[in-house]
Amino acid sequence: MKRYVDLHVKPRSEEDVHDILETALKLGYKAIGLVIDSIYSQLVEEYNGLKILKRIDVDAKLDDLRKYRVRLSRKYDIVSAICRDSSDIRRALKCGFNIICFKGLPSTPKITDFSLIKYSEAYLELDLCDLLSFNEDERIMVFRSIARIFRYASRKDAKLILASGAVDSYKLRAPLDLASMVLPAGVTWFEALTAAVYNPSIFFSYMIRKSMGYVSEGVRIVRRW
Amino acid sequence: MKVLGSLEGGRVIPLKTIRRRYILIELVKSSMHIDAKHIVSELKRSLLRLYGEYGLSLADIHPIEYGSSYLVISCDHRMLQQVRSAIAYLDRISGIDVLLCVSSVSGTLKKLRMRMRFT
Repeated sequence: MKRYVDLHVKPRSEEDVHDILETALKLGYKAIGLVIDSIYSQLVEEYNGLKILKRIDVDAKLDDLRKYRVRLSRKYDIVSAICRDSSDIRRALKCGFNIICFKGLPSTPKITDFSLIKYSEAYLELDLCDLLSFNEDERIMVFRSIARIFRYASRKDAKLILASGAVDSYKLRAPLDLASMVLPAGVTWFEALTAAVYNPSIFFSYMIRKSMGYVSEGVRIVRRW
Repeated sequence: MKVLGSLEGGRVIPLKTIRRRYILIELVKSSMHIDAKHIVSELKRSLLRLYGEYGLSLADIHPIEYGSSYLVISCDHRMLQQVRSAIAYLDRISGIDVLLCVSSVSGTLKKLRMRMRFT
């Protein structure tokens, strides 16, 4: 059985959290990454079998980025870096971020960004929530950049993740529907499926292993002091 | 549409050239009650916006049946993924917030109805 995971959901209020969790269960998700702040710190780890991953987004422009990552990774399951340009991506990768997210969908992605990601274990994440609210002209621009992102990613073997980036339950999409949202950009069904279903699932299983002490192949944490 | 096809050995069997796919669309959530007819017309508009008149004509969408929270449509098998993406882009129908999801896809109505009975 496939494990569907949506790694990026950004509820606006506490009422939205409950609504989003109910809808995610209906849509068949097994785990969901919720961007939460201290208000919802009482959030449970599981909701009727739906695993909740606490997530926080950090601006890659911040000073002491590495310190932030180390400190926050004790408290949150996913710590992602929000990047605006290549220098941000470089900084985020140096500081050991696993998920790199663009601030909005980039209009002109560069192939050098993907070369940087190629040699790391990081995933590049695209939020598709904005696509629903854009008008036709904006959407055309975004489709063009999505096509470029997928082309560059396949050329450089960079790993992509598609997330809904939903702010309320109406913006959530079922896993296969989420994959189909990038098809108008000329992306193949296999590429879309890999980014929307397989890569998030691999990342999720990596996180589970990491929580059990896994560091890398052959290396495992046996004791902390 | 059926045309004559041939197999090795000289046997002639009918071959189906246009295959249909039956899509079960579930209305997961809506802020108000919405008529299924509106969903179909909005779906066609969404398909037209994303793939143009050519895409819409290729998709050849027909509503088959609908209930209070579901809708069955049929489309050309070659345009299945495109129709799916047009469904994913529907988030507002005549001013009402909706969340639609493709529950099941089948090549025959019989199998789709069997799945509907079990879900």
